[in-house]
Amino acid sequence: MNQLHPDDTFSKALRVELVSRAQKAAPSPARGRTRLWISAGALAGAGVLAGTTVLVTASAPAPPDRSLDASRIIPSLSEPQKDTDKIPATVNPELFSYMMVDPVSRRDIDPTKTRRIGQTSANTYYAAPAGDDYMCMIGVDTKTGTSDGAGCVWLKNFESYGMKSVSPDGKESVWLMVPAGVKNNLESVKDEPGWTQQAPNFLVRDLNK
Amino acid sequence: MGNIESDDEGLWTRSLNGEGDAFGVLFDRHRDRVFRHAYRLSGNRHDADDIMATSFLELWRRRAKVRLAEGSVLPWLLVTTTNVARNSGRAAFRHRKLLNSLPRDEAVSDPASDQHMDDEIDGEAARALGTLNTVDLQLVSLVVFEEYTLAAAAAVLNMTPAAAKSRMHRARQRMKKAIIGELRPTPALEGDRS
Repeated sequence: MNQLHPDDTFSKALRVELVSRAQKAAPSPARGRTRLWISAGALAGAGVLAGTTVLVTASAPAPPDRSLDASRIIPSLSEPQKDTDKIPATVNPELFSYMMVDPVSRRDIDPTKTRRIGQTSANTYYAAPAGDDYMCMIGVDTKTGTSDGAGCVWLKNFESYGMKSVSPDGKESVWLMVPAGVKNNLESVKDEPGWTQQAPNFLVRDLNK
Repeated sequence: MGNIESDDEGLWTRSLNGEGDAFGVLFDRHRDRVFRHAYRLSGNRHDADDIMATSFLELWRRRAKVRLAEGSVLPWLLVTTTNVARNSGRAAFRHRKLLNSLPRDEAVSDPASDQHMDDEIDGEAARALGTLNTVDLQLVSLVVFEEYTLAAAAAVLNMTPAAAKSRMHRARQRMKKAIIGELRPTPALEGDRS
């Protein structure tokens, strides 16, 4: 099978095109303002770039719940979606495309399952399941209605840490977790001023106020 | 995992920083393996060229989300190739204009050329692949054809090693049945072949 190779003319022309695209696009446009997504397990998503992702070992042991039921994290998922739960139409619809969540396993974010979970002075935050086994968090700039993308975590790993997002300047952090993890997680950040519990399982640290 | 090609991380980082030549080297490094995988799935040289090209174009378009597996972009490329081959709709449509504009050798349209390549592909194995669902096909492609370890393939596909092992066992059984004629390829994959 070693003699199998693509059309040489086609391949050379494609190479020129790829090299040109890489040169034109430098540096990758999203890199400078990419958020830091932190979780204890597999993490995928638009907010994740090589060198910017930190995986943290479990800090908040809670009774293990291996369920893939996303409503254990977002109880309102068992209720109808409200208008305020919908991600603004100004957000790039590609946010929901499978590639944005995980190019490998092709999990989609279902726009009808987004739920508003909280806000900071700059952003509104939504959560949504993706496929059967991911939970995603999406930050939307409240003024511009745009988003840098979603960060997604395996549902089955949510007990151990949840999912934290930190802005590039470090002034805004949000942390979604299972309700049972709140007490221990609040304890773990007691030396970081500014953390507040905005919802039963959603912590916010907004230093831009 | 010694059977994976050498580290792409430096080339990938340089590519993201606008060094087109580095991206060209990545293309040179993985082009033939991606093409062979595309041919294995499409059974058609012209389509395999398009699938290979689409996979690399997607690699660049989705560069902010690409995950390197053990320092290599190849697993991402191979899985994307599988997805493109099975679901040629979205990604291929996106790049159709460019693909049609790229020049091709005259010889490619020669049916004898495809016949020669068919001789190099294990026809029974290719038909057996057609009986697998997409996830199993991704797994088998990585483990059987590209010689990744089961653990590495499991990591790329976001499944546990135990799940990968179980899936791999079932896939092998299914392929064996297909080869001895008990199963027929899924319509979806047959439809991809032209």
